[in-house]
Amino acid sequence: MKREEYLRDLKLKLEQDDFAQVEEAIAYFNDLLEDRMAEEGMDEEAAVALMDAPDLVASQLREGPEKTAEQPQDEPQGPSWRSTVAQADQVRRILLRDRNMRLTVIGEKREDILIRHPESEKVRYAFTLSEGRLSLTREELPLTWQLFFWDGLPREMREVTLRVPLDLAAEMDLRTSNARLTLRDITCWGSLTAATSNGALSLENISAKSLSIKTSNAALSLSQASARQDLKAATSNGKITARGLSAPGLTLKTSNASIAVAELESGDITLGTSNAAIKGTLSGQVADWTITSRTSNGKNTLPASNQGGSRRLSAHTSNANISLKFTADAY
Amino acid sequence: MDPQLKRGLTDACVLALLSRGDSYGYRLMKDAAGLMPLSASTLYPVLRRLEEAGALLVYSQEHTGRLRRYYRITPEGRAQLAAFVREWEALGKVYAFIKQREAENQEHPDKEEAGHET
Repeated sequence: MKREEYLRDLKLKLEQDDFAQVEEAIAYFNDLLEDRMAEEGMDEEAAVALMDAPDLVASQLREGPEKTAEQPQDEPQGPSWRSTVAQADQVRRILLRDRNMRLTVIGEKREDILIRHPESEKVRYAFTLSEGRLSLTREELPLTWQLFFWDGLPREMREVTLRVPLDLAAEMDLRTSNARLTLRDITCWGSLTAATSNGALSLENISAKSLSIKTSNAALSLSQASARQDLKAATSNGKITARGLSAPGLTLKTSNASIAVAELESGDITLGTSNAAIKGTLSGQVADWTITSRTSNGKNTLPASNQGGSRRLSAHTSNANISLKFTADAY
Repeated sequence: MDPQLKRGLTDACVLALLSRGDSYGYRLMKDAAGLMPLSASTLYPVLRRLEEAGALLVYSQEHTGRLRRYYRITPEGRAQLAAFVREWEALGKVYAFIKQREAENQEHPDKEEAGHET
C-alpha cells in the first residue's frame, strides 16, 4: 500500500468515527511515514507495512483524549458539594473512610444525619446505607492519577462534615489522613473510633461506649470526653492537652511533646511521652494511687514506684520533668 | 500493565525525552523504543493529551522541503515531570521493600507459611 492510500483510508476511518481533529492526526501520521522513509531508507510500501492498520489506529485514537467523553470535554466538571441525609434512628453504625480531607463531626438538635462532602472529577465517594450501616467511602483512584494529577479541589472545599443528633444510638468509625479531624457535642451509644494523620485532632464534649482517638505529627486536644469503657488517645510529635476526661481506663500517648492533664476521672491512667514534660493535676491524694513513674534527666514529683490505693497511675517520659499534683494533697 | 499506570509512565517518559530538547514524532518513537513499545498510534494520544494539559506545545518547521511537526516541553510540563520524579522516589522505597521481601521468599519459601506475627 502506498502512503497516500494508507492516509486516505485512515482519514476515512477517523471521519466515520467523528474524530475531532482529523487533519491534525493525518499530518502527524504523514510526518511519521516521511521520517521513517528518510531515516531508514525505506520506500513507501515498506514504511506503510510497519504502520498499524487504519482500523486499529482509529480504535486506539478513540481511547485518546478526544473521546474520553463520559464528561463533555469542553465543560470540565468543577468541584461541587454533595449532601446526603439519613434517618438517624435507622443507623446503628457510621463508617467513614477518607484521605487528605478535613473531617468535622458535630452533634446538634436534629433527628437525621446530614453528610456533606465535596465531589469533583477526581474526588468521588461511594455512599451506602443498608441494614443499619451507613458508609461513606472515598473511591480509590488509579495509582498514576493519584501521583500525577492534582485533584483540583480548592482548600476550602477539602472538608467532609457530618451533622448528627446530640444523642446518637450508633457506633462511629471515622478515618481520614493528612488533615484536621474535629468532633464536638455528641453522645454516642456505641464505641467511637476516629483517626487521621499529620493533622490536629480535637474532641470536645463527647461521650461514647469506648473512645479510640489517633493522629500523628500533630496536637491532640481532648476536652470533656467520657467513655464507659476505655479511652485511648495517641499522637506523635504533638502535644496532648486533656481536660475533663472520664473513663475506667485512660491512656494518653505521644512523643517529643508534652502532656498536660486536668480533671481526669479514672481508676487506671497511663501517660507516656518522650523528651517533654508531663504536667497537671490528678484527683485524690498520692496514697490513693499505685504509681509507676520514670523520667531521665528531669525532676519527678511522683514516687518512682508506690504501692498505694486501688487506683493505678503510670507516667513515663525522658529528658523532661514529670510534675503531677494531687488535688487532695497539701503541697 | 494497568492501563492507568502505563498511561502515567508513558506521559512522563515522553516529557523526559522532550526535556533534553525539542523532538518530532518518529524520533520520539525511536528514542522510547528501548524503554517501552510506542507505536505511531499509541504515541499520538499521548502527545495530544500532553498538549491539552499544557505540558507541551507543537510547532511546524521546514525540514528537507516539507513542514515537520516538532514538540517542545513547556514550563508546566517540566513541573509535571519534576512532580512525577518526586513522587516516584517515594514509591521506589516501597518497590525496594517489596522486591527484597519477594527475593527473601524465593530463598526461604518456608518462611511464607509461617506468616507474620504482629
